[in-house]
Amino acid sequence: MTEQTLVTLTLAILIASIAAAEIRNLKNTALAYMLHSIFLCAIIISYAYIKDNPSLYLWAITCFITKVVVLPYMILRFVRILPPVEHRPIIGFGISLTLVSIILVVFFYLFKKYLFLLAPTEAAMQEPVRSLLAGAFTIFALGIWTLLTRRDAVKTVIGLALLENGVHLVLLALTPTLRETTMIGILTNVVAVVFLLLFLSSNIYQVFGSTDTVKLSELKR
Amino acid sequence: MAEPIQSFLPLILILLPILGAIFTVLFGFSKFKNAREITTLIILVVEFFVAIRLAAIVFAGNTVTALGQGIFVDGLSALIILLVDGMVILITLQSIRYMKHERELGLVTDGRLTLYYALILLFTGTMNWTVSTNHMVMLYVAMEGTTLATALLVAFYRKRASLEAGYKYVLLVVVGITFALLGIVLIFSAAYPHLKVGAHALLLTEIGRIAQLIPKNIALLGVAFMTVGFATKAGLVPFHAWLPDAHSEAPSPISALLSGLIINIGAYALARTVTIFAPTYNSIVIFIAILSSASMLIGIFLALVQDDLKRMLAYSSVSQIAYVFEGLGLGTYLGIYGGLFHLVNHTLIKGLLFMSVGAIMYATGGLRKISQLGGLAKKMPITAFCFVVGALAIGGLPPFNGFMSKFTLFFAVGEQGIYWAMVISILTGLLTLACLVSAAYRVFWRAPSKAINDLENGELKEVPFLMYFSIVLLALLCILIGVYPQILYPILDNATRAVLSIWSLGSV
Repeated sequence: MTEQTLVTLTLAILIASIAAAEIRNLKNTALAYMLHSIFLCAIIISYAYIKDNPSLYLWAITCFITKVVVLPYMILRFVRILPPVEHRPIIGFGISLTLVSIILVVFFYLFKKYLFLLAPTEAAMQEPVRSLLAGAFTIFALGIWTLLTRRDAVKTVIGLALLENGVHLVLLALTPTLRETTMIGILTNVVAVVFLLLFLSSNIYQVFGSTDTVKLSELKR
Repeated sequence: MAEPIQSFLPLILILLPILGAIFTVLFGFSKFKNAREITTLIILVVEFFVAIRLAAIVFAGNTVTALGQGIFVDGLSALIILLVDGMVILITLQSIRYMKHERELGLVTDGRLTLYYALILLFTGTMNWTVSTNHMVMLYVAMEGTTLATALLVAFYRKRASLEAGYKYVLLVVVGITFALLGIVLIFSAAYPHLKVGAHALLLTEIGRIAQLIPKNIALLGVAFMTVGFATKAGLVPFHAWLPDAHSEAPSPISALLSGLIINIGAYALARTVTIFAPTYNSIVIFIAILSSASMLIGIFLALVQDDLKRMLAYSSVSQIAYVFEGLGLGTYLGIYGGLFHLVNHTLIKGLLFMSVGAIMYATGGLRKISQLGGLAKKMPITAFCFVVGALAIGGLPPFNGFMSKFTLFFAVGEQGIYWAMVISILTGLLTLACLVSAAYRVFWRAPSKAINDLENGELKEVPFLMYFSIVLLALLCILIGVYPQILYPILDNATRAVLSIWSLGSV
């Protein structure tokens, strides 16, 4: 496995992330997120191989269970009771896709170019870590974008999951070793958060008859 | 620093309530389901005694570790553990009558009630874990744990408003804490080359050493991300959107828990991380001073226009926790001392005020709008007395505890020459006094409103003993600490030195 593979995987995960954020059909969104998570696991495995760090394989397995199996399963189960298409986001599909693609390409380029501001060590400035880090920060930015522009509760959860995955990739790229308990802790946390959000969303759906978060405005500011 | 003592006491503090929570849920399914209140209380009282034992060891000048270096308890941790385990008992005591009443009104089911006590126990465990873990990344994990444990308590009534509040609470706080995680990761990775070979984690006790070794841009960026995250957890403006909703929609004892304990976590984490960087980078001090001054003023202005008592108290929390942040952000002895002093006082006072509102809601059948209340002093003299003590204390009037901590903070800010922040703090103090005292007058002494008159004669009376026990105790504590602030001095001094000793590891 060469370092080129890792760079390719970074690009692949970016495309899958955009798909997860932009696809309007909720079921397909969940599947796109699953694809994103599969690429995430592949990145961890190839990183473990390149850096010759066997402890990362455990991370990949935990990541596979939590992010490829459990999370998409919970989301898919939840969207079964919902209408198939998400609530119209604040920005239309064509414009949103164009905007997000442009923003992300610019972001990726800027992050890569000015990485010395963010990356603390010399090692982080070398390929393929450099591309991986730029990709991680871009996914983080995409997560924020999704949280800000989407009204549907399911999309909000996806946005949050992307945000977290961005941070986890930064963690992977920058800190070579991490205690197993720590990474299992972080990953189970994500599952618990998503479970709670979906649980509350399904309650909200029963009471409000909708998963439109903009309608959650009974309480004054 | 003296050699740390290995002890399993911190592990008991973390694991006992978590196991207790599991047992409470199991009890809920059995015929012993009415034992849940008493088992919860017994577990919490045992917890409190363990906490006192641990605190006694720590305040004698030691530090305690467990699981190697993984768990670390110093003066600061011990202070918050004592505060948490003590307050949770008082909150549970009030909950017993309050929730029983809600159960009789048909607002909650039996099963939900079991969940209530289980979640309080779970919260206690995760909270103790948060303040005693030594791993920076685990601090994030435990913090998330406290959010998750309380989320269902916020959405407890499963009504429109409470579901909305719960959803906002989880989403906003988790997003905020994720920012903090990014900050933690950046600091961790920058520190990595300076750690011991083979180190798996960045220990909180090592931040002082690495604070001066890592590049300035990473340190400032990491601190900025962490401040955003911890400020979200603490509910500072502009990250406060979740706080008034969550505080006002939760059952009243839980509001006391959220306002008195949950937002302290943000302050604790700040003291452990950002404060250590403050002496090295002056810009951090100014950044936090601006953030907290804005929070103070905006918080109290929003509190002034609220009609809902609980929302008013919630906005007041936004403004008061900013005092704590301001003090801790200074990074000086006096600043940290004042910040921690105010943290303790705010916990006691807000616990007192929210539980007093709980008593008012209990007596009036759930009324909590100031415009709907009035003339309660005659019928509820004990609650009225306690609420007024709380109002005067949070307003910073002598001889109450709030006066002492606020004055310490004014001096601390003045000592650093940040006079504009001092002026804003004093102004906020005056506005708080006006806000709370006028609310107290309207609730207790103004002519009774129509809603109060509509209550059947004799229905409105002082709440039962179990309901006012906690608030009377807290009111007495507020007066005691106000008159004899020196009784807290050894504890606060120890906690402040604990924060500073981590910093000084880097400067020697």
